[in-house]
Amino acid sequence: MDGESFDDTSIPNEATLWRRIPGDWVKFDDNLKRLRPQSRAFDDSPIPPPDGSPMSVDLADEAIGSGITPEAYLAEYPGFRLVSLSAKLVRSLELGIVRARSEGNPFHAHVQGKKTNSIKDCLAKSAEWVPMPPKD
Amino acid sequence: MVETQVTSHLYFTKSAAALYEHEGASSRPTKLSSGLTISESRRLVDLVIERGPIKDLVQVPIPSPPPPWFSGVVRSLNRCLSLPEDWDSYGARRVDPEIAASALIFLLTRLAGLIPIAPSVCPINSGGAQFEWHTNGIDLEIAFVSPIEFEVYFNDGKIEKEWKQDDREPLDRLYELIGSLTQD
Repeated sequence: MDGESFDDTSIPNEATLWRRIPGDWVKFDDNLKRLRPQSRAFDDSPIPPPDGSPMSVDLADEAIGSGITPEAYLAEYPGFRLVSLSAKLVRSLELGIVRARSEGNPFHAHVQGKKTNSIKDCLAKSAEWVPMPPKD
Repeated sequence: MVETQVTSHLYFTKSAAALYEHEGASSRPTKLSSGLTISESRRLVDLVIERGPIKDLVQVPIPSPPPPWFSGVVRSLNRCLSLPEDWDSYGARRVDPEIAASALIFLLTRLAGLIPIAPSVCPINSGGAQFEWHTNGIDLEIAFVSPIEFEVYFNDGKIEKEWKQDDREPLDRLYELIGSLTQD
C-alpha cells in the first residue's frame, strides 16, 4: 500500500473526526472518573473483504462547513453519542486517514492500519464527547 | 418478506436466589502458583443457551455461593444478546450466544474466586463480548472473539501487555494480572 492510499495528506492534522458511539459502548471509568467510550468502539468494521472496511469516521469540519450540526448528524441515531478525535492523534498512532465518500455521505472517511488493544484504548481515552444542545 | 429477528438468551435453570442459598457445600480453597486463592466449592447448574427455538444445555460448575456480580453479568450479557444487527450503525454483527455463553462459563469457572469487582460487559462488533475493569489505576480487558479464544489487554501505567490465547491454555499470566486489581 503506498503512502497516499494509506493516509490522505489533504486531510490536515488539525482536522476533527467524528464517530458515533452507541449507548452500549459508554461506561464510567473509575480511573479517569468520567464517562468514556469503551475501547471496542474503535474496532475495524466486522464486514469481511471485499466489502469490508476499516473503522469509519466522518470529517467533522467538512460536515460543519456544509451546515450539518452534531445534533443533525445524530438525528437518525437515537441513543447514540458523538465523539471527536483529532487527525493528529490518529496519525500519531501510526494510523492513516483516507476519504471514503459514499452517495449518502460525502464526509465519510476510513481510519486505516492495525488497531491493537493498546491503540484502541488510547483512542477511547483521547476521544472527546461532542456537546449536544439540551433537549426540550 | 419480512425477516424476523431470532432472539437469543442465556439463563440458568435455577433462580439466582436459589443459587445463593447455601447447600452445605464445603469450601476447599486452592492456592495457585501466583499466590492467589480460588474457592473449589462449586455446584453443577444447567445453563440454557437459547437461540430462537433451539436450546442447548450445558452443565456449569459455578461457585457456591456465586460471586456477588453473578446476576449483573448474566443480565449484561443478555443485554448484549438483545442487540439487533448493525447495532453500532457501522455494520456490527449480533452477539453470538455461543461466544457469550463461553465467556460467562470462563468467568464463572476459571476466574470467579479471584475477582471481587464486577466487570463491565460490552459487546464486540464482530459478535463477541468483552469483560473489563478500570479501577485501582489498572485497565484490564478480556475479550472473547470466538467461543474458545480470548484477548487480554492490561495497562497499569507502568506495564502494558496484550496477548491472545486459547481458553485451554494455562492462565498463570492472567491470574497474576487479576491479582493487581485489588492490590494496594
